[in-house]
Amino acid sequence: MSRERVLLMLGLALGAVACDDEPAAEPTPAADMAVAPDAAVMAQPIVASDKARVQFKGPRWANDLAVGLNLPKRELCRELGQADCMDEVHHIALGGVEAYRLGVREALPVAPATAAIAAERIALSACIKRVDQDLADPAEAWIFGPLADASGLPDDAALLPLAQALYDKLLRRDATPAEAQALVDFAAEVRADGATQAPARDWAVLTCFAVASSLESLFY
Amino acid sequence: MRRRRPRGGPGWLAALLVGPALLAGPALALPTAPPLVCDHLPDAPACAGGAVDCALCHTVPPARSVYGAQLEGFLAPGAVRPLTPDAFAQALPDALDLAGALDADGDGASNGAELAAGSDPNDTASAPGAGGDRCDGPVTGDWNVCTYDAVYVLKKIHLDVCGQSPTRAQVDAVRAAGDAMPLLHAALDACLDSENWRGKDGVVWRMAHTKIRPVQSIKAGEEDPGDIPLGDYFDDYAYFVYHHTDDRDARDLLLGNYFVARTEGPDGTVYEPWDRSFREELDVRGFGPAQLVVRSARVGMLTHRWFIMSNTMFTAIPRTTAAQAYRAYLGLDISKLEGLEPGLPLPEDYDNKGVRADACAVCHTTLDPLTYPFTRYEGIVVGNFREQLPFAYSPNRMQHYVDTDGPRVAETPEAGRILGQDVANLREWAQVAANSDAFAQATVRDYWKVFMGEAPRDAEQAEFVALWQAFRGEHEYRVERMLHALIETEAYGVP
Repeated sequence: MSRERVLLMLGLALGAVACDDEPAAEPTPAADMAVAPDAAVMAQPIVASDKARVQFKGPRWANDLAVGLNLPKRELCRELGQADCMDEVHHIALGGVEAYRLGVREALPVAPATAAIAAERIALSACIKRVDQDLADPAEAWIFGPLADASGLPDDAALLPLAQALYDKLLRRDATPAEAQALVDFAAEVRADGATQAPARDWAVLTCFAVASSLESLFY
Repeated sequence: MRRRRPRGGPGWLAALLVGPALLAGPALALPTAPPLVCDHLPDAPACAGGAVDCALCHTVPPARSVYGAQLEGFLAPGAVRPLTPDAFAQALPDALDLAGALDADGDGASNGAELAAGSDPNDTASAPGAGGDRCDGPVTGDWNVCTYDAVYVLKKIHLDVCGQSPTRAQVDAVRAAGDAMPLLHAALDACLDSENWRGKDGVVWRMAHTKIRPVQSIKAGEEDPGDIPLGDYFDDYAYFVYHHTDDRDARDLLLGNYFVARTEGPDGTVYEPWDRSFREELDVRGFGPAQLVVRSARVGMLTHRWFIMSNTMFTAIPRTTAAQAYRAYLGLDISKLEGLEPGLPLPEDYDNKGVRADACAVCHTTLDPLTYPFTRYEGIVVGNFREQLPFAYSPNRMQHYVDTDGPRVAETPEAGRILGQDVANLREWAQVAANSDAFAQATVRDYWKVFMGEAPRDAEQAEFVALWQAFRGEHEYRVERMLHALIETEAYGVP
């Protein structure tokens, strides 16, 4: 299974959890891949906001990402290993301004098509850095230390606290049981992927990526 | 509650000219149209300020919005165009009623229902809320969308002002508090002191970009100089941030006769006012970035070197300078027909630019008197500095433009007019501006956009009006006091 396919599967699985706010209905293929939504969520439909006022965090997202992953902001992502992805390369696409040289005095009114791509590049880069540092120095690990000595992917019970830690660090809240279980269940997909040589690392990077690039992480 | 139009200020100030777009033929200002809409629909949320926004009927005036186009179809159909102001006023109520039954944006809600509910009849995504009973039952979901949600507000304060989300401990403290409001105000105070808010390239600094309009290639000064140094806009940024932070009167943005220096200290960015005479300034900083307007003629940011250099440049009658000041600090964009004063006589054509022509006079009757007080502040000079000093106040400045602009240019008065008041010079101009409704509205609107991500919606007009009026009143033009009130609004606190 290619990394892209793994990402797609993970996205669908998490999306199914995140979006399933309807009362019980016939199971769908997407729902089959995920676990059952939380009972509390299922109990009643969510009261929708009249305002629907949601803002893109833009450059502030990188601040949250740096804190959540315990990385210096400038090390989150560097294109070609040199230019800062957030403050230089993708700054305008991600809602920043550059008034002095480019004359971009206000954030673009509508996010360009490249914004999502840029956000994903930053999230993936930052997660790779976090995971690699944790695996290289488990004594100082921020999240993924327990995976350092694993020859393969540990069992679900060992992965659950890591999934919960991702929500704690990146979204600063507890994961719901369904959210945490979705990340744990993703391990089965990774285990089934015979192509990967480092299933623990891949699981860690991709689950980190899934949470870091979620709507809840990017918007407020 | 029926809200009456505020009295005392010139009613045309908030007006955008609905009239011209509704009339065929030459531009004809009908600045009474926005308040006329509110005379007929006084309970519409969009009328909380006494006049609707131009965007109700126009995209960019005079082009009509979809609702404006429908309204125009009912406006005295068959009558000879252009309508007279009286005919327009007489026809408007019926047109509003008839257009109210249609649905301009096709979202299923009639124009009349949208105006009554405070949603936008031009926007498919804006419709009257689900309303009524949706909040009668238990509220579910992460946010309480039916009332003020303190945790939601805490998160917004941290992201909007501090630039990052709150910690779990901070969230837990607010969630556990019986009365979370003191914690929210404390969080705001802490964030207002953050570098993300008040530092270089921070939120307040970035708000000044559209007012200062920097160009690095012509920047002077030691920090990030350009190839052709003409002025140091970092003076302007420091001055702007200084007056928008701590407990300072924002009006001094347009009234101060000193400057502000920025230093990066161990505890963050520090802004301190400074004042030097012309000679002292040349001795300390040299000609490159020096502020050359003598103390008695300084008028806040309006006479900073960067402002007059980059806007006036080589122009005898610097209309661009006045228009930018009007737009940047009063929120009135003459290029969008905003802030025009009706009934003024045709302007004198001192510089032979044809400003008395019908198509030009619509704006120039307001713009030219608005500009005269700026005419004694020199822009860029090519020639003998002993005769003509750049970036300085010069009572005899207009004499230097006779060769290029004709003999009448020397007759250009320094006295002018702004917001319906005659003024003798730029200092009086700035005093009228700084004490106007428009200044308070523009200042508060800038922050509203930072905190809400958009301009006030129609349904939020009542809170917006209350906020800018409080900014003028109990907040004594202190931005931070106003922000403490802003976070208590329904617009900010209910998800």
